[in-house]
Amino acid sequence: MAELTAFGKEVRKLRLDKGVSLMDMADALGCSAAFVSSVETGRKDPPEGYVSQTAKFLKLNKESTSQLQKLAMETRNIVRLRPTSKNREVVAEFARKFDSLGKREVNEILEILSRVQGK
Amino acid sequence: MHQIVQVPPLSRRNIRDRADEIRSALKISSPYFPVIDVIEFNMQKAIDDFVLEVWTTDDMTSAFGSETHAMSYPDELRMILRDDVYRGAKKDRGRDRFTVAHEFGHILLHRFAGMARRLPSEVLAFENSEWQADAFAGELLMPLPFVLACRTIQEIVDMFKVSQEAAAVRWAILRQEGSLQDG
Repeated sequence: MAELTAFGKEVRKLRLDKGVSLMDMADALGCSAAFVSSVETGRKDPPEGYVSQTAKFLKLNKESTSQLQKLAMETRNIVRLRPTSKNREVVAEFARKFDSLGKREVNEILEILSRVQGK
Repeated sequence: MHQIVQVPPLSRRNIRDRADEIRSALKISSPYFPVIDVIEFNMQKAIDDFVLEVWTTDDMTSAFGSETHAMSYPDELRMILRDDVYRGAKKDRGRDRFTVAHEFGHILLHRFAGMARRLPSEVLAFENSEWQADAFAGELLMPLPFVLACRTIQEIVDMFKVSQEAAAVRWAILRQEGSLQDG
């Protein structure tokens, strides 16, 4: 199964319930069907204004709209990695032990990271 | 060397029955089968985990190589269509409709089918996953009783919204199995 984000899952369900296709949605938002699909499957983040435009087109009520806004915020906080096993291991270890790290260790990690040129 | 995915054998008759089951389950009695809408709405609504994804040509090419129009993962209930193929199917472009029906065949026929990669010489047509998916697409988009009413390949093209090529192949297959008479 494709790993949908909570936001993607919700917006996709609302869209399908209204009988709106990816193509209808794409045409309404002025983007490609591939873009709408990638936002729903979590391959891309919903850009600024995406939720309000979607809500308007699907004629969502206030409640559904603010729920979507909330989920969109959460999904933007997800960091996407290439899912190699090494990547997963590093991140999982980091998350597991983060709270037990001392000040000196945190500074060491920061030092290592600052030597790496970010993209 | 090019390899073939071997699956448990299915006869054309088995596959025709599967296609007929789908049509009757959906209560579609017209010659034309709205394949992309069935995938996008009926399938996605009926099966919780089934997801239709649409990808850009660039993403498709970098993940699967150029000239890949679609990709299915039957075990994951996942179908990926290239953007232009999805749009083409929506606009009744024959070739794209056939691609979608072919992928539908993979999802229906090859879920937990047990696949093995083999050399072409080691696999019979009936156990070749691509042959089965093509056969399914032909049966689903161009059901036998309606094809019997067509006198020319062009009539098949117009009645079922398929490509000239798909119509000609269908015509040849039905003639070969004796369902269509000459003249």
